[in-house]
Amino acid sequence: MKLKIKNNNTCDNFFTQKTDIITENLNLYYGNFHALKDVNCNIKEKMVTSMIGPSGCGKSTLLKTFNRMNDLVEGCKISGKVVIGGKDIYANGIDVSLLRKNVGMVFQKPNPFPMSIYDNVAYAPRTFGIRKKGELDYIVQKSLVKAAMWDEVKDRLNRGALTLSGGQQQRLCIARALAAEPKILLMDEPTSALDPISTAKIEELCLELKENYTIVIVTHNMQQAGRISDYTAFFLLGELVEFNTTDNIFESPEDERTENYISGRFG
Amino acid sequence: MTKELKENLYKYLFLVCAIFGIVAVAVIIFYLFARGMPAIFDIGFFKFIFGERWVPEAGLYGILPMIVNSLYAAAFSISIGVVLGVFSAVYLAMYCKGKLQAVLKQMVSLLSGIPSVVYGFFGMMVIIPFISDLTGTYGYGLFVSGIVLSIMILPTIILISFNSIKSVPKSYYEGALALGATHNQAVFKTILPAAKSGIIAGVILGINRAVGETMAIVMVSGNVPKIANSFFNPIRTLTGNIVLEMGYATGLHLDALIATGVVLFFFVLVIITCFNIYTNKSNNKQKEGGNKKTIKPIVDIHDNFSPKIKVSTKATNMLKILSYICISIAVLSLAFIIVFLFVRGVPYINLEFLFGHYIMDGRVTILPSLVTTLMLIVLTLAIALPLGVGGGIFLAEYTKKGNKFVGFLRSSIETLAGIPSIIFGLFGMLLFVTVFKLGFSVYAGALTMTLMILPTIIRTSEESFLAVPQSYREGSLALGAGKSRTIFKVVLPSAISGILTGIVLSMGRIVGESAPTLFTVGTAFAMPKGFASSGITLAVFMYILAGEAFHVNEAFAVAVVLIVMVITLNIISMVFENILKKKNRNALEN
Repeated sequence: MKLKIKNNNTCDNFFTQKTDIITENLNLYYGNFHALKDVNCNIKEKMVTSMIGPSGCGKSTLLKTFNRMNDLVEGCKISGKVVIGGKDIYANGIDVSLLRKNVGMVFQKPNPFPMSIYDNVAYAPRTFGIRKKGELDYIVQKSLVKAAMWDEVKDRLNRGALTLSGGQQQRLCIARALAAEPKILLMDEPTSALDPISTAKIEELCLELKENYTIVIVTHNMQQAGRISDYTAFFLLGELVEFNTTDNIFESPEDERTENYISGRFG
Repeated sequence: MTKELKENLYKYLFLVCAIFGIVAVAVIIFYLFARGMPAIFDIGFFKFIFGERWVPEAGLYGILPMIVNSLYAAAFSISIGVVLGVFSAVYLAMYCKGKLQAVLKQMVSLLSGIPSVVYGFFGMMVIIPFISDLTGTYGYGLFVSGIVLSIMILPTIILISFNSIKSVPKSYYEGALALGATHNQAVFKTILPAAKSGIIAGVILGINRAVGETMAIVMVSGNVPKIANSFFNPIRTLTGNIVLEMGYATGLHLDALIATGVVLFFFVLVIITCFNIYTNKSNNKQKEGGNKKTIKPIVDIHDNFSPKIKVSTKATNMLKILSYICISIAVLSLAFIIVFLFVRGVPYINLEFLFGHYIMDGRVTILPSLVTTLMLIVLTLAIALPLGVGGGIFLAEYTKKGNKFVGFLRSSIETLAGIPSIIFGLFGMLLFVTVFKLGFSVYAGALTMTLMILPTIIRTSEESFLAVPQSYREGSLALGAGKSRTIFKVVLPSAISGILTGIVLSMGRIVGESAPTLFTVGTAFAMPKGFASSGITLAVFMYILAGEAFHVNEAFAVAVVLIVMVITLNIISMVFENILKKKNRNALEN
C-alpha cells in the first residue's frame, strides 16, 4: 500500500521563521585544538547541503554544533553565533531538548535502541508527552512511510530493531528522527557503514525528504555529494574554504584547494 | 618420553583438574540426595515439606516454616536491595564522574568482601536494640533479618548493575539525546532498559546470596521454627535450621537436616538455572520473531493531525532524585557500619589481645584463631591452586567454542560457585569429618574450603590466560616449542597477576567464611598442634564471642581485625588487577 503524505505540520513553535542555518564567526575548540576557524555559512531551507573535506577537517564537528551534540564533549568551547530559524541556539534560556527535537540527527553507524521497531519510532513522541495509542500509532506509521520502510516492517513492528539489516536499521533511525517532527535533518556520513544498495535507498530518501526538510549531510563520498545535494561546502583544517551550489563547486571551483580536492589530488 | 606422550600427558592432567569441578558438584549432589531423600520418605514427603512443626525430640520434622521464612526473608531483602542497589548503580554510572565515581566504586567493592558474621554482629548490637525499643518486641526476627540481608547483597547488586549499565553502547545515549531526550530521560528510558538483562542477572545472584546466607541470619533471626505472622516475629530459615542443629544431631534428625539441605539446594538450583538462562539471553541480544503487534494502517495520512506536545520531565527527575537518595542511603549505611565497629572495637585491640595466651579467666586473645586461619589458608591454597589453575589452563588453552562438554563443564563450575556455604559445611562435616575420619581438623576445613574457592580460582585464571595476546603463543610455537612448554614458559608468566588476583580474592573468602568451617575446623580455642588438630577460625571465633554476653567488646575488636584483613586483601587484589589491566593495554598498543 502506497500512502501519500502531504506537508509536514508543526506542533511546537520552536522556530518561527524560515529554518535557514546561519553561522557567524563560529570558532570551536576541543581543549587546545582549534577545530573550527571563523566559519561563516548560510544553509538554505528545504535544500540538501553537503559538507565535504578530508578526515579531521571539522565538517562533522560543525554538524554537531547545529543540534548542540558538542555539549557532550568535554573541554569543548564555542565562540561566535549559530542562528537557526532566527534563533541563536547558543543563547541563554534555549531549551536544548526542544532544539534537538527540531533538529534531528542520523549517525554514521546505525544506532537503533535495543527495543522493538515500534518503540524505537515512538521514542521521541513519548519523550514529548504523547501517550495515547491512537496518536502514537499514527505518528509511527507516518514516520515509517516517510522513511520508505512501512511496507517492509508493517507486519513485524514488535520485532527487535537489532534484527534488521544495517541498511534497514539506518532507515529506521531516519524514521525515528522524523517521528520527532523536526524541521532540519542532520546526517553524519549516514551511508559510510552501508552496502551500495542500501546507500542508494538512503540517497533516494534524501531527495524525497528535502521537499519538507532542510537536510545537511556530511559525506566522504564526493559522488554522493554530487548526486544528492543542491549546495556543497568544502572544509579543510577547520576552515570553510568554499560554499556554493554543488554545480559550481564541482565544475568551476573558485579556490585552488577545492579544485585539488575535487580532482583527487589530496584527501 | 616422546614429545607427543608428554603433550598428551599434560593435556589430560589439565583435563582432570577441570573435571574435578564436575566431580565435586556431582558428589555433593549425590551425597546430599542419597542421605536426604530416604529421610524425606521416612518422614513422609508431605509431612516433611508441608509439616508446620519442627520438634526433633518428638519426631516431628516439618520444614514448611523454614521454607516460608526463607522466602519471606529473601523477598523482603531483595525488594529493599534491588531498589537501593539498582538506583545506586544508576547514580554511580550516570550521575557521578571521575574521582568520586572511582572512590565510591572501590568502596563498594571493598565492602563486598566483609564477612557475614560482621554484618550479623552489627545487626545484633545495633539494629535489634533499636527495633526492640521502637516496637516493644523482642527485636530478633524477619524485619531485622531482611534489613541485614539487604545490606549484605547490596554490593553484589550495585557492582553487577554498574557494569551492565557501563557496557551499554554510548551510541544509544547519543541517539536518545539527539531525539530531544534530556539526560535523565536518556538514562531511565534508554540506558536502563538496555542494561536490563545484566541487572536482572545481578539481582538473581543477590537472591541466591540472600537464600543461602547463614551465619548473619542465625545471629539476628531469633531462630524460632514458626511461620512469621508479622515483620517482628522471630523466624528460622532453611540455612539456620541446618547450622543450629547439625552439631549435635544424630540418626533421623541428622538426615532430616541433610534433607533440609536438599530442599535448600533445590531452591539454589532453580535460581542458578534462571541466572544461566538470563545471561545466555543477554548474550544473544534480541530474538527473531514476536510479530504480534501490528497497528491499524491509516489509509489517509494527512497532517491536520497534530497532537499537542508537552515537555514533561517530572517523572524522570523524580527517578534521578531517587537514585541520589538511594546512593546516599547505601553509602551512609555501609560507612556507618564500618565506623561504628571501628569506634567500638579499636580501643580493645592491644598486644595481649592479638598475641597473648588464651586462658580461661575471661581474657580473650585471638592468636590461636589467627594461626588456625593462616594454616587453613595455606593448606587450602596448596590443594586448590594447582587444581584451579590447571582447570583454568584447560578451559582457556585446550577447548573450542561451542563444545557441549565444555559447556557442561562451565555450568558445573557456575553451579559450584552458586552453592550456599552452609551446604559445603554440611557436606564437609559428613564426608571429610565423619566418613574420612579426619575429625574436626584443619585438613577437613581445607578440603571443604577448596570446593568453595575452586570456581573463583578457575574463573580468574581462565580470564587471565585468555587475556594473554595470541601473538605470544604464536611466537613461542613458531620457535618450535611444544604446547606445554609454551604454556609454562610464556602464557603462565604473562598471566601471573590475574592468577594472583584470584588467589587473594580466595584468601579473603577463606578468612571471611564461617558456615563451612564451624563444623569442619571446629571451635577449639586452643592453639592448633598441626594440620590434623582442630582449631577455630577468626570468623567462627567472632561468631562464638558474639553469642557470649561477656565478651562483647572483644567481639567488636575481632570484627575490626576481620574487616582490616579482608579489606587489605581486597586492596591487594585490586592492585594486581590494575597491573594486569596495564599489561594488557601495553600489549595491545604494541
